[in-house]
Amino acid sequence: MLGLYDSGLGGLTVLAALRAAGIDQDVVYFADQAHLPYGDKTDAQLHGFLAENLALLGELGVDAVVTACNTTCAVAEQLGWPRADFPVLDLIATAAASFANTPFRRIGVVATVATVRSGAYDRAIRAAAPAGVDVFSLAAPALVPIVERGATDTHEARDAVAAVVAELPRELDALVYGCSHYPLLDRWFAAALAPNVARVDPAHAQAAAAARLVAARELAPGTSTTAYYTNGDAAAFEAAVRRWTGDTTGRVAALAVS
Amino acid sequence: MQGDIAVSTRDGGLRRFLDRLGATVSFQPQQRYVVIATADRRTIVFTLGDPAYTIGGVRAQAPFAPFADGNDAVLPFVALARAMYVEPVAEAGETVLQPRVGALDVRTDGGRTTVTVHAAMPLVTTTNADAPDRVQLSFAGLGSSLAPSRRAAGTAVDAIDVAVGGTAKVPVTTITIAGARGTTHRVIASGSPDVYAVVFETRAVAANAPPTPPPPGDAPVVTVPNVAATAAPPVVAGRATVTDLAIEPAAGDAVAVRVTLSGAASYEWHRLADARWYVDFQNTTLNGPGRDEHPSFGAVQSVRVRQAGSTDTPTVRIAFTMTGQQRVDLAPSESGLIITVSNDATTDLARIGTGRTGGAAVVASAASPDPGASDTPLPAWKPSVNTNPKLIVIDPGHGGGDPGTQHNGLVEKQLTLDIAQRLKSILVAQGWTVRMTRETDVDPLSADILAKMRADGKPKADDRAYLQTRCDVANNAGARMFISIHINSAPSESARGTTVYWYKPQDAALAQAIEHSLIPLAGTQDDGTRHENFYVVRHSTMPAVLIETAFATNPGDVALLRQPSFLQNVAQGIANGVKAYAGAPGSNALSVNQ
Repeated sequence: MLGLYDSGLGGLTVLAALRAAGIDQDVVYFADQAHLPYGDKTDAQLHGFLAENLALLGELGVDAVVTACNTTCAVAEQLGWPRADFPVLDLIATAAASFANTPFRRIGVVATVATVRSGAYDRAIRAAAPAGVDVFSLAAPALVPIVERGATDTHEARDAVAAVVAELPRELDALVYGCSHYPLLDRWFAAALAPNVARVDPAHAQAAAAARLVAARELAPGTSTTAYYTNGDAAAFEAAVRRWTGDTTGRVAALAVS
Repeated sequence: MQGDIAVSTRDGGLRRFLDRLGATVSFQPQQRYVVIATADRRTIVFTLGDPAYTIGGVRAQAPFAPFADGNDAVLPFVALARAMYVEPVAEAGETVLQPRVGALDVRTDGGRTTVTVHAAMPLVTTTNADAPDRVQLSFAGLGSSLAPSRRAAGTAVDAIDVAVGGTAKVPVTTITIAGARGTTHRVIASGSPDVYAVVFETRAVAANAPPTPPPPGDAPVVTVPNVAATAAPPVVAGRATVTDLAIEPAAGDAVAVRVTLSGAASYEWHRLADARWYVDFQNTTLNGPGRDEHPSFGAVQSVRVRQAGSTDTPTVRIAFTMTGQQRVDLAPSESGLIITVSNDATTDLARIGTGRTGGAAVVASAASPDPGASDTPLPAWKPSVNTNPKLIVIDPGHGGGDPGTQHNGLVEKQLTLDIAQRLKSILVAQGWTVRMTRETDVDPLSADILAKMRADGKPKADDRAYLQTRCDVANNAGARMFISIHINSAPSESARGTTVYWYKPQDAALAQAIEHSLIPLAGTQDDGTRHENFYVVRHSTMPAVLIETAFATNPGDVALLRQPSFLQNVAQGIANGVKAYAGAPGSNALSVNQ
């Protein structure tokens, strides 16, 4: 069984990528909505949330954690990963590794304030990519609340994305969704970016890494079922999960906040 | 803010707003385009009938399309303001038009990275450079719409962080730029007072580079604040020095501060909300250490004099703390500047002014520093606040002896009252105060109008003025908006759908918002919003609309009108439009004074 966590709904894009990659492991998805949004929290707070999330998933008996939240990975890169007795797939590290042979020279990253401030993506991509790659990262704090409100298909979302794109440098080769919420706004990024800019969703690299991990650790086949937990508003969370994932049978439940 | 405000190019408030920002608007009747040229040489182009507009060639989308109104054009104000880096910000029950730092360009060319800051107004910058590879810029009086944090790994600039402090009226934006290790930075001429540019480069590049980056040929170097000379030699041509500062009592218990300058200097003064006032002399050094004075006379509690700015862009700041908002007068002269703080409080709280003084430059204050100038300061331009911003008046069409249209067993006056009552419950639940022009099956006629009609001997149908009673319900109560509900009919069965009518420019945004919200819920054909001279819309002084919900003569619409669920959906759709237009009740979305 694999564990996924995120501050909210964004990690569902990583879950979707796992399923699309044919991973049939059962999944426990935890949305730490009590602390939403992660982007404006301090590193110390985020490190605390990360440790709690990993501990919770550990208690639920996961074989590995596939992180679906960039912000916590950025913090862990600076403050270290909390101890866990199961492997944890670092989303930023796998995303950066996918740029090992990249033809791109100018790569943009949009992410939360905490992620951009950490510089984790910049360092990771520049370490993995061929020499001479420039990485431009930009904080887009307005976007996560829009996704969490379910307002992805509104003019508000379109305008917010256009405002972010307007601040990116011209002549980018690629734009990385450095927050798992942003792929849910992909249509607006596609509309606002120049047509030759590649849009990179790290969820796919993370799914491929997860598939390798499942194979390497010879985990027993699962039943492709997912249980969804939140420490926030369970009814709203269930409605959003059903809508985004199309999963009508997976268990959705509220967890008491410890 | 999803809605917008319709404002005519004829509107005096808009003209003042554009003047204030140094922008010009051009629109010729019969043309499709409205072109606004900004002070920093960008062009904003609106097209009549198209909600898409361009800012410097980049497309953007407004909530409604500009339209012609006689010889003028009506524009979406919020979209225009934002394009000029001005944002309506709500604070303490009023809406402030806050000028902002609106764009930040980062361009890299080899080992050199140039960061350019664009703002709504001339920038008054306090520069704080604690290391060659790091600079902190504070922009007083400006808010920010910029991303709070960005990094540019691989270029000469590592990180740019933006923080906004202060209040909606007196914001301060601080931009911290951290260069890559081993870089140095310097300020370069930007060619526009609204634009600040700083370049970071590796030392190797700096050594090989020409000493001065080529400034744009037409850069008004002298009058631009923040434009530094090239490197940082101890003496710079054109730099002035404050050689003396005297604080003296003056007539009428006033305080006069005489600033003596060695040469010409540009200055910019600011009045802060908390009874402080300061003036910055640009490209000016202080001859000696800073001073703190506490005069024993007049309304000035303290005078502080400080060397500020950076080595490249030195600034001398003279700051007063006053006992209240006293009147401050500036008298430029050949020897410097005399600042007089009178003992009387002033009601003119102009917040900013600029000028140039000393040496040959004398007077010639470009933007008038005269606190008595009649020019309305931008952030103080308050929207008109209606007497009752929480009140919505709903007008169920027809009633009493006037049944309205009657077809297929449907009676307009009954349907309009039904929808209105449903709308009322929804709006009341959302916190609005709602008044209806009629609560029952009556034809509301005030005694005055009834008497006039009888005296005139006119049959009611010939005199639409009887509808004034309905408008008066809203006008006399100072309602926020007026919504009239009707059912349509047509000779042909094929006519169907929903239309929202408006008349006054300020009705248009409300009409658009309601149409957009209503159609998806009602499921009727979208017949759009239309400009029509309906009495109740025209004679209501606030934003008003008349909704023709559906046709009582079309079989499809008739089937809908017979369903209570449809009437409920219509009510909900209208309420959603109200929310899109005005936000929550009492939220002070901008309304333009007509």
